[in-house]
Amino acid sequence: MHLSEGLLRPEILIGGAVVSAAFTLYAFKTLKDDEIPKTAVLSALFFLASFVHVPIGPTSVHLVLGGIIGAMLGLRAFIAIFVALLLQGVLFGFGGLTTLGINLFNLATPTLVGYWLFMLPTTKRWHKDLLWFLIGFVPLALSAFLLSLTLALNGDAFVDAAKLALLAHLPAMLIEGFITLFALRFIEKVSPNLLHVKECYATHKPA
Amino acid sequence: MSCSVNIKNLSTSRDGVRLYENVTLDVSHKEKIAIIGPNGCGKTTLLEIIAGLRNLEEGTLELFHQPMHSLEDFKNMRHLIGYLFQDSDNQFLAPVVEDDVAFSLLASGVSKEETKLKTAMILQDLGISHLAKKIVYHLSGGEKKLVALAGVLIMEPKLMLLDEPTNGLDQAMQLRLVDILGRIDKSIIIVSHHKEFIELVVEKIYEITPTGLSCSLNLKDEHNHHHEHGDHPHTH
Amino acid sequence: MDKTQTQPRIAPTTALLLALSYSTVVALQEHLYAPMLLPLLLLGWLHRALLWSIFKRLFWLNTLIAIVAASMLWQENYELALLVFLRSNFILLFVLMIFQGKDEFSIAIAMQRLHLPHKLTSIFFFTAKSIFLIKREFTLFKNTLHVRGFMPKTNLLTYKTMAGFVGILFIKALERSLWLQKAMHLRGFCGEVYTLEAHQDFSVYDTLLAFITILSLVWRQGALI
Repeated sequence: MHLSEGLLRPEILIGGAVVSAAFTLYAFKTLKDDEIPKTAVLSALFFLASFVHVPIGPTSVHLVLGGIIGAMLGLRAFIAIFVALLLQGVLFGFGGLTTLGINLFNLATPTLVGYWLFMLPTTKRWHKDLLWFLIGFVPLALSAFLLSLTLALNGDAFVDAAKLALLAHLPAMLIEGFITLFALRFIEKVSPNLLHVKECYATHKPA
Repeated sequence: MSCSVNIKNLSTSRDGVRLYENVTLDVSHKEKIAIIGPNGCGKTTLLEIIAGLRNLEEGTLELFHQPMHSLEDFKNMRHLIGYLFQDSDNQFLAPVVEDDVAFSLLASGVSKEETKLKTAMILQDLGISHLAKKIVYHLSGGEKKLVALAGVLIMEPKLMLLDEPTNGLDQAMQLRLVDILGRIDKSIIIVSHHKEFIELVVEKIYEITPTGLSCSLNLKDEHNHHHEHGDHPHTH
Repeated sequence: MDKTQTQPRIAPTTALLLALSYSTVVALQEHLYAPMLLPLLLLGWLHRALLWSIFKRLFWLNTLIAIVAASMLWQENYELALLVFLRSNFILLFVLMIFQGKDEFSIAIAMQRLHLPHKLTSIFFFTAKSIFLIKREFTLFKNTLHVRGFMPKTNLLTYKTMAGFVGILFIKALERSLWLQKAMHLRGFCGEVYTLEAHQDFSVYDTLLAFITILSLVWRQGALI
């Protein structure tokens, strides 16, 4: 899911950095002290999700969990993912420092859709299940699309790789959808109140 | 009579279920008491109410003779109350031992030089000077407990609230803790179900029941006891 | 920090600044020059005992780079393929080696030493803490599954088990966030995590590496590509 150092053109690196910086700075400026704990622990989860490998056929994909993190953080997800990406970049070489901006844009912007989906009112059980599946599926699909788009915009020579990358992410999207659905169901069963506190943090109000 | 904590007719519920009602408790200046009760009976909740982490539902709470009505009232009391969590990991805010111990002092605006001296002193006092530069999370359970305690003691609180302080500690560390708590000249409320330990530390043990607190053990002189504590219900 | 120093380490602050400089300059180059290898050689020498494991990690980080380079070779765009491949691997190697042996806590401390805003460094401190604690739950759970003979396969049971695992991680993480909030209240957090001492000392290697890195970025001689 992370674009590596050295692949992209300056225009894309700088463009990504500028847009991400704007979102992150806004989220950061409006962040209250009381929101710091939740942002920090979910940043840690995003950081660790890359180490959860789910088998699929002969290979495996790692989780991203952006949708569910976005669902719980709203715009704050930009801060959480920024911190996680920076740490992943320096400690493991995932992504990197120059690609931090574009990776943050590709990964964090779609999580806002996760937040929006999570806020939709539901009445029937299967509505909820479908939404929860989509909270995993859609943000990852959008991220994969943005990643491929980034590669394609990088030059004609990158178009083949872009198509391949999009294709390669298909299984991950489905897995992410299922895992998100069942994980949310699990949380609903064990600690339902955790799913109700969403308003506290998302709407710029301290708990 | 100088009192650290006065609780009258306090009731608490969790998720709509009444845990206990009519809890009345007086803790006098420098008195050490323990509260026991089965798991899930609301011992921690009681500590959290005294520490201002949770709203009072019913009843009254006075700290150092000041009535506490809302969480706002606790703002001025923060530095007088030291709270030790059951899980020390939850207590830490800075990763390096000396920084974490110094945290509250630096946050309250004390200078770095003075804080350094005080931190060194308290680490020395608890016998953990050698840990000063370590990462707190890499320490053993007992060492973590002492670091957390140092971080609380450095503020020189008048009232200490300890939640299951012996959890996960080996015998030697428990005895070390008994010794340290014995030397501390403050009001202490310990919540625990570790009877052997608290009997070595406190003067009184209360048992929490759905109908209130009952004093199950009083290791203090009978005569003193009568004067210090009015007429709240208790047994011997 | 209290690390027993088996090999010379670069201070995390130096590492952050130099990695940022090196990767920014190299990533924007259309041509690579021989001196850009100098800091890699120095770092490689400093970490000579760990080179094998570093190169193993480098290999696995090359998946996307390999896809991109392969598609360019397919299009007979050999020069671009080589440029992209080298550029990526120069930077990756630099980052992997310079941050070798560092953990999330040292990065948080370095952030603070660089005088970034307090709120930001606080988040780094608390994220580092959470990573440590959640990783512990993570390992515990994996061991439990292993002991019970759970073998991950491509089936619904595996996915449900892993989802339950993710669910547990979220619950534990959110519980930790509530405790953290309580600790912040009780201990008087007002927007900053402090340090009494610098904790991270600079050595002669920091100076040497800084000098060589800067030199490598300005000395345009011996074009490699």
